[in-house]
Amino acid sequence: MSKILDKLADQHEERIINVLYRLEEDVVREVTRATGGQLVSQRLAIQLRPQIRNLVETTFLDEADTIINEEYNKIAKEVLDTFGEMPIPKKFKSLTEVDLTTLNALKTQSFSGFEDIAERFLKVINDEVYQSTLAGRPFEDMVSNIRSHINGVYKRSNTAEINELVDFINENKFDSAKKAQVEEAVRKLHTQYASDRAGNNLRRYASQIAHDSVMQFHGQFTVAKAKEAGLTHFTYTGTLVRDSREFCVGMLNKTLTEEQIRDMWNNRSWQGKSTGDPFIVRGGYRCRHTWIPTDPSWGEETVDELPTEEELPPPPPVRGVVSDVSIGFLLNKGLKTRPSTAKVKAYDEDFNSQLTDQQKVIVEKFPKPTTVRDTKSGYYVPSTGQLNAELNAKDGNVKSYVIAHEYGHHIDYIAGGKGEFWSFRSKKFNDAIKEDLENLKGKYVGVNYVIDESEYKKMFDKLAFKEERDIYSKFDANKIIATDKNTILKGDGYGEVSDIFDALAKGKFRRNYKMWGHTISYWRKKDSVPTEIFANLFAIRNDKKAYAIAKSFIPNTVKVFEEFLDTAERVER
Amino acid sequence: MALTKKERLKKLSLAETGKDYHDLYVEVFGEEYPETVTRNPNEDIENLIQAIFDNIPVEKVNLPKDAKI
Repeated sequence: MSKILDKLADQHEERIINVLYRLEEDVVREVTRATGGQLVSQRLAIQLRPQIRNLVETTFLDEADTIINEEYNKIAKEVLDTFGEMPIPKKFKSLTEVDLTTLNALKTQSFSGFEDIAERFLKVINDEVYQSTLAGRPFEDMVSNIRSHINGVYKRSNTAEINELVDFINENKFDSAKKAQVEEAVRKLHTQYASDRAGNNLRRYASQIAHDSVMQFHGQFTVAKAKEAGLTHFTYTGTLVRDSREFCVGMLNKTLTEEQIRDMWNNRSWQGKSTGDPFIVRGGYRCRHTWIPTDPSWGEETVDELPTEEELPPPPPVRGVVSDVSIGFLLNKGLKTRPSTAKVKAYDEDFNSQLTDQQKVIVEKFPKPTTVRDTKSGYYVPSTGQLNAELNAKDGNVKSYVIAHEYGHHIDYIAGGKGEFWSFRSKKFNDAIKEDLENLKGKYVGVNYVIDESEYKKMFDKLAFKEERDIYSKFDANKIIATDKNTILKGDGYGEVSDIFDALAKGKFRRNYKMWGHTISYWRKKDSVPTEIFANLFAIRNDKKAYAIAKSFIPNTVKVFEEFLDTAERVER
Repeated sequence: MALTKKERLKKLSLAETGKDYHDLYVEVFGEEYPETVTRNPNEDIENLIQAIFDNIPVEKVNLPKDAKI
């Protein structure tokens, strides 16, 4: 979601948490005052109810009301700002009278969420007081229980250490740099209050409502404005965190029509999904994503990165027409340890899943490597024919087609003959690379074509996003030594696409933008650029999305590569 | 002149981009971050930060000269 929404959601949650401490103290003070710190009588328990209600209304609900009336206009402004940037008629960019009516209705609806939760916990507190009279519960126990009903394990305690933990959590809860320390403090706190771990309390629900209310208000007003403007496509927008739902990870940056979204909503389920309208509840409770309206006709900046049908390569032949190939039997060849049958099968399955039928035909026509090793580091040694590639490899959270990549090197080398790679020897392939490079924005500095920084940024945004993480000491697994923004790829095979761009940038994409690629010294080798581009194209040939992105910035190279595949498929060996 | 631990950590805390980290590595160890046979930048940056923090350079992974990564 936008930074403004993010900030508002956190600020509102923080304000609600703070007011609940005031409520906790006020309620305890009122009960103590009315009873003189003694066991409550049934009559007094009933007499206390209006006072407790008054306290809930004048603290918790008053704060909720203030937040909604003062702050929710900022959410509406955020929606209008988003529409302001869209190429739509002006009349849809401003606040209309109808919008004002809608906003007021939405504010009332938001407030009712807080009212519902207040009413529910008012009953819980009243019951606690009343039941204490029936059960003869000591006054101190009753007070402790009231505190728990309001703030759970975050209640005020007589123990300084616990209060320090609570203070630390409250002060740093929204500081992403201290996420690990806060989590540790929460863990300790739960250890102190083991019996309360599963308990529900007002804080838990109220802070969630404070957060979700911002997002839902935004969602509802956005959809209302989108309908007014006749926009029917929406992009799922926001960032990912460590515990993002599978749904959100899969949907991020995807653009769908309203019909597709509703259809998906009715036919899919995922952990944490909540009931309601897909545009309002989105991924579920505490989801930080939003559906932002768009129109595919607006061009690259606002269109989903999913390639259009025209951009897609022709679909590969239906799998099964060509038999699967096998290289698993080569695993550990030359070593004493043999792989299990299951490992051989898994390796072949992974390899075949990375190939088109055309590539399988080519694999069968060319001599195979001398040995294959399942190792974390992937590489191919032409002089010995050894291929190293990890089974089921990942580039962070997405698929890495490393077996196909290394096999691409092997095919390239065998096809080249004379101890050199085909991609290095082919003038046509190298001319195509040069042409594609020069089509990127940039200029010659001496003999080197220097790509403009805007191209790097564009490519980064297309392939990845950043996420904060803590770096731990090598010598002390609990010690955080730095906080870094690491790179998360948006799709399978995007590491290979990044590597292609890094080849054109001679390592600068990897070095300066924390993207997948090779070291600058590696790119200095005379044949590294064409061979890596070839291997990466071979690796992503069976992934429509990754291949389409590569084709979008090296179309000439892809064309020559495909000519190579067609020739290799027909070659008689 | 070699950076003191305090200087290293101060500069490390200010680094943000890949360029910042790699330039700092060069400043601390007088050479580019070596080949580690990984294309994953996150692994590289983690190794690099730990190296600067502990003042122990990352070891180069040696492969056959003609190896393609």
